Amino acid sequence: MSRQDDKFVEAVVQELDESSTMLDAETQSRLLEMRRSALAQVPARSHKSRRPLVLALAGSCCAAILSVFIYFGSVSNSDLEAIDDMELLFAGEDLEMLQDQDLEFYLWLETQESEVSVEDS
Amino acid sequence: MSEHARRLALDSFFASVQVKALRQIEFAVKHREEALDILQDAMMRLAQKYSGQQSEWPMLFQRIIQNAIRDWYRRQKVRSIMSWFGSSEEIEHVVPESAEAAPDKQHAKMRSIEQALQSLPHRQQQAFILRAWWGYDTEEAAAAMACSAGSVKTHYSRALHKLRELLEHEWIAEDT
Repeated sequence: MSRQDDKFVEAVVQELDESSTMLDAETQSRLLEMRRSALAQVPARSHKSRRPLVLALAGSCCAAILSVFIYFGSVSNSDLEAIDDMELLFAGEDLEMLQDQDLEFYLWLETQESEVSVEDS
Repeated sequence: MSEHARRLALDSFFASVQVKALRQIEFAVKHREEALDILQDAMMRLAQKYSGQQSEWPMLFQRIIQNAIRDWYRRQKVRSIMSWFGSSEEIEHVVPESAEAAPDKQHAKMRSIEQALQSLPHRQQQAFILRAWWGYDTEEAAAAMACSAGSVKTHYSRALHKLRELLEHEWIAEDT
């Protein structure tokens, strides 16, 4: 770039700078409003740093509840049955059970069980 | 940095660049209201996505502005094609308000600069504004405009040549 170019650019930039100081009041107040709206968009500080603390607190609470249960021995037989039921419910069911021959087997098993219970009583 | 301090820093950054950015966009889109809308979006985007990257705010802000101007040009192109096919919607070009009120010689000079800048092709215009007015070096301008440093050099050189051609002749005529 020649020296003449430099002088020309300098003159243009000076004009542009001067023109930027002559902004009307309405536009200036619009700009202020725009800045406020933009700042409202700044996201709140991330909660990532607090996550380990929250997890530790949750873990402590669970441990405390469990130890209270164990200490007072309040896990009854019915609770254990409930846990067994849950295990059954969550276990994957074998679809072959629904086939005809298996159904006959389960019907037979049920009659056997009911007979045993009548004899016991 | 606390959240409050970050907001204050961002506010002072916006305050330091807002007028220049508005004029820059205005030269590109030739319309004050459109320029204000584009600037508003750029401010919001920077605040929303990059408020934590303080050292990069100037470059990110300029990149956002350049993208927004490019999107505006694309929309205008689509609108002009639509109008060519018979739509009644027309592109409106309004000269910036500062240029409309030009009672004295100083204002006339400014108006001639604005008109000359507006007459440049978009890339040349932005290369000139970034290099000459914002003081970006070639690499920074290339990053903002998402093009090569070689392209920036070419655009800047052509812009300078064209502006000298347009303005020096006019300024000499005014002075005589």
